[in-house]
Amino acid sequence: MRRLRISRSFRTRCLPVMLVTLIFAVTGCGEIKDINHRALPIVMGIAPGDEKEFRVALQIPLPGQQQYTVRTVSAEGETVSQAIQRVQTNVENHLDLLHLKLIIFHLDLIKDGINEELEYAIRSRQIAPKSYIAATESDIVKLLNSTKERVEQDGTTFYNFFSQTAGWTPDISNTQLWEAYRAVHSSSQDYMAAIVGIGDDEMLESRGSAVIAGGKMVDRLDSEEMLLVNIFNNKFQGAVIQVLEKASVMVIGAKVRNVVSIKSGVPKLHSKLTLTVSIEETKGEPSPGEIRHQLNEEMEGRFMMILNRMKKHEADLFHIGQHFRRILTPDEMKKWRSEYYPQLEASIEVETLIRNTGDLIDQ
Amino acid sequence: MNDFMAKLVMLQSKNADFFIKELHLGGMDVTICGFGTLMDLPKTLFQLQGMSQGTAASANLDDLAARIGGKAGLSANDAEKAITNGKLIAFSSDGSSRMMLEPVPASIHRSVSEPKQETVLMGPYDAFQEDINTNSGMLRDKLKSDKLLHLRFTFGKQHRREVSVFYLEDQIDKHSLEAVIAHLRLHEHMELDNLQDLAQIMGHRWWNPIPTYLSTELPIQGVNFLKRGRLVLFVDGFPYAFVFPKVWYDMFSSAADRQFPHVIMYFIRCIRIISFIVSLILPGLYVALVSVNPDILKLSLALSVAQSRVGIPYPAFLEVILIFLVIEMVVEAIQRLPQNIGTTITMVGGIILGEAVVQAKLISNLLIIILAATTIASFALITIHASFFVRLAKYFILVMAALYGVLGVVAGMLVVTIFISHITSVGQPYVEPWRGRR
Amino acid sequence: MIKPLSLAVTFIYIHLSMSFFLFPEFLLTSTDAGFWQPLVINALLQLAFLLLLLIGLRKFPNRDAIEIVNPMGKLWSLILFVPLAIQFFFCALIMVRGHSELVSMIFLPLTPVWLITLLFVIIALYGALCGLKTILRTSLVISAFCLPIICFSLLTTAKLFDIDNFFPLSDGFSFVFNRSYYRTFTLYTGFLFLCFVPTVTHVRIRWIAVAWGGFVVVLLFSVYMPVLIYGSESAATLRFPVIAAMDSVELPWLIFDRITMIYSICTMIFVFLYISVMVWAVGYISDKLAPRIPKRMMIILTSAALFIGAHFVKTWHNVEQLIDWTQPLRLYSMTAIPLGIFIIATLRKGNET
Repeated sequence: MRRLRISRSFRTRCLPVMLVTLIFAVTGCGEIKDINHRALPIVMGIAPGDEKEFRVALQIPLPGQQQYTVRTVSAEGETVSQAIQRVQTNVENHLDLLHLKLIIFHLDLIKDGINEELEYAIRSRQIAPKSYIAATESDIVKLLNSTKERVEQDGTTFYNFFSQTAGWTPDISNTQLWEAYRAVHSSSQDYMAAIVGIGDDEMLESRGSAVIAGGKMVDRLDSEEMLLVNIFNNKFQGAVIQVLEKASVMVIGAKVRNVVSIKSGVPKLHSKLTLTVSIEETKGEPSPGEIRHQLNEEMEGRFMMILNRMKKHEADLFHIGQHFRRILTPDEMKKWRSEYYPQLEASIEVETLIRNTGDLIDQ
Repeated sequence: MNDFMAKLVMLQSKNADFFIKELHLGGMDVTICGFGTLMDLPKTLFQLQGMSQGTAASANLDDLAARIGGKAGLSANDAEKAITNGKLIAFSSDGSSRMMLEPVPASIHRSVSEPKQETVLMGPYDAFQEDINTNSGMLRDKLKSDKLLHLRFTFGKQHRREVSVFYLEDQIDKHSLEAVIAHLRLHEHMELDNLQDLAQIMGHRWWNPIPTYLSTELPIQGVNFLKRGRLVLFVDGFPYAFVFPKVWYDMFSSAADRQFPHVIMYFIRCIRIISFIVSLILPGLYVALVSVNPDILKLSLALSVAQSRVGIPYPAFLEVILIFLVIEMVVEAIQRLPQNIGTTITMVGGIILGEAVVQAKLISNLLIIILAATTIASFALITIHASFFVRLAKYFILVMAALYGVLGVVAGMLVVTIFISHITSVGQPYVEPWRGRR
Repeated sequence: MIKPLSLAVTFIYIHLSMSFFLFPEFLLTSTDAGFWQPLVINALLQLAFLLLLLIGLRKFPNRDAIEIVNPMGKLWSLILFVPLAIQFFFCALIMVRGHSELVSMIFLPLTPVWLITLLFVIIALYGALCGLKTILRTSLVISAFCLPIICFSLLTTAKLFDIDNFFPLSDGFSFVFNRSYYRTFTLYTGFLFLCFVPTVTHVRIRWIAVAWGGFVVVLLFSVYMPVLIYGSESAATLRFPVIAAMDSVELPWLIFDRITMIYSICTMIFVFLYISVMVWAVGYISDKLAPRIPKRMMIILTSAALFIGAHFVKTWHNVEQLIDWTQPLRLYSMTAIPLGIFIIATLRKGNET
């Protein structure tokens, strides 16, 4: 009677292999840190410290028996990572910056330059390049503390402020970390960071935005100017523009066409901005022609004003240098900001199309 | 001859159901013997008497054999074999010449009834039975073709078991046919008691949990496979048809799907493939996302998962292992419970496992959902063997997930894929589409 | 259809395994602009040698390279294939160590590196023991799972592209003098495993050429993706440009937060397959050149050597040094072997007729 039996010698040889495998398994499980033993900060604030270089504050939702409690922990250090390490010693859970959604810099820090902090953020694999950055004038610890209750209700509150699928509007700039990092090395792309503060109902409030070139703050824009910059950079979803005192229109579409050329070392730019709007609210009874005319003039005027200010600061906020990449050589591109940009001769033509007038017919 | 008679007397003394009877048949005195339990003796005698009524008396046994349709000229060895096979042996008074007769068989086999393990949604309800001849007959009845060929093999020296091989001559894939016949011929001396032996005969390795053959209870499936160029095996005593070779696609598609419109058929098959993948990786993914790599989860999900795990005393890996072992025990136990107790126990068990264990903070409630999804998904596959395989493989992926996180889940899936790609079923690689006509 | 398709898919995977992680960094640091130039030049060079090899192999169908060269003299086999075996081993070592470091940096910062290396080595060992046929089938089956994820992740980054970053188009040929440029050749020597495929399955030149085209397109895409998002200056400073670029995409509607991880893990599968093929190839060469060592034993020994060797390569800098040291070996294999096989096959065919 022939039958297969798993031979005894094989079975005895299996045993030590299995034991060794178990040993590996035991040593290898060092990575396991359960999610309820991790602290997942959502907002990080960086400001100049009192005693040391930096003060870092982290807003951490901690799971509790019934609901969340939000703690704000801060510490100081010579470098940002040292400060974060100090925070870790004071927090009972393992700190994981993986879910960080917003980094708020203090304006004083931005005035000195934040390039190195940006490099730290990108170098550390933990912080995602798609987190938003913002600036603030108030004390960061107070800022994070006072929004505690709102965040306890919904942990993603801060993130929603800047997210295009939630409460963002185009008159706030929602710059992401990667856009900021890009500007560190790029010769022609600068950015602006929204300035936030505490509003009346203990949530964030926008207070203009800071223009950052070369890592340092060079200028400050208000909401109308920010709106224009965002429209120019194709972030116009749901923007409502006030046309003098006669009407409000909502921008449905914005298309920019640029014609660039260089004549005898002087760069020339002619932009055509086509705005497609729909009428929201009117005062008096302005005719569509009037609205269009006013809107065009306002847009053109504002654009030239902002551009002239930016040229003085050598900040290429409208990313105009990108269009010149086809014409200039790489070596020339490196000198874009210092040599070519201040001499830029720009002209803009704005054309408005009123696609519809909403649910009411205009007589 | 004396040996033969002595043997018969010994058989009679040791077996209560062995009879030796003297009979007057067709004008001759013959002695008949056989196992009374394997035949219906009164009916047989009645028929014999009826058949042997005639005018002339037979001269000898051979003449009688010709008259009543028995097989004469049997050697002693053949006669013994025939006795154990349930035949009636008639021999002359001195035991010199022997004749084999076909008796009326005792009804010890089930009649054709409904399938016990497979559910038929739309289609005929008859199923294969234990007797190999009934099965062969059912197959021939469903597929009336002269191209249907039938080979028979006998296995084992001590306990003989018969195996029938059916195939359609014009559809069959030559390589598979040669491989199957080679395997069967090579192992004809082996004992064939259970399906492990059958698998081993057909070249299945002991460490492989995926069966390399398909088994089905439904004749209509057997016919379907025959028409697609595969071989159907019957083993005497098993109410299944075994189909060779098997490819991985058979885990997800069944012939019964073809009763539905095409689009629905593809949809159902997609669902099965998704449930295969889900049941394989879901527990591992839970451990990986909760313990090792929580940065993949969305923030609100991460926070609510952390909330649900507050107060649980042990790490996620142990949590998962514990609850899945309990479920395996429940699944095993339910198979053996009698019908009436079974439903009560499942209800109670569900409530206890679900509610109480979460209330006692032993398991997080997210894990209960994952548990339910995995268990249901693992039974959505076609054969019960495939479900076993998935239930086994997910533990491997679970361990990999605990060690390496999401990388471990994917590496585990790669290992499982390499394993499945390595298997061949009688020469046909498991993951290649079927060589024969689809 | 399945057999040539699985070979083509394996061919693509073997090349793409390196292209997502180590390759973009080397290419982006080799020149300031016009990244397509070094890429296309390398790819065309590779195509030339690839076609040479395949045409040489086609003269003797169903025979692999060693069987073609052996009748001319054992010396030629040794000259051609022993360096090849060594080169395969070092390629596998670089991949194992480089990717263990990568995994340790991105996914599993707390796990000891030797454990991660063990994972790579054991899976490669298992794949190599199962044989090339199994690996070919596996690549086809696993692509049903991987390819949708990878295509999806790559295409979602298109949202952030700024086409102007594509220009300036060219920076001259200054890259020839940059050391990083030569490091990119590690990608292009993967095709040499095709020397040993004819005994396993029939090699169809047209399928391989199409696979080559496909992989060059994906390569261009994966190199230009970080450039179009970050700009060439910033992209060159990143260690893993593709991953950083993908991390910048915001997908609010997806279940997962970081698609990068899922994408990177899927490409790890390519790396596993690549290392398996390399180990299998070393075992195959030793089986043909020194038949007395059993093939299984050789494969196990190679895997053990990989694990121990990975222990000696301690830092990322060492990995780059290793790449530089094996550079001559690599260039030799890439040029000498296709040439040698082509010439020897032609000579033998000439002698026969």
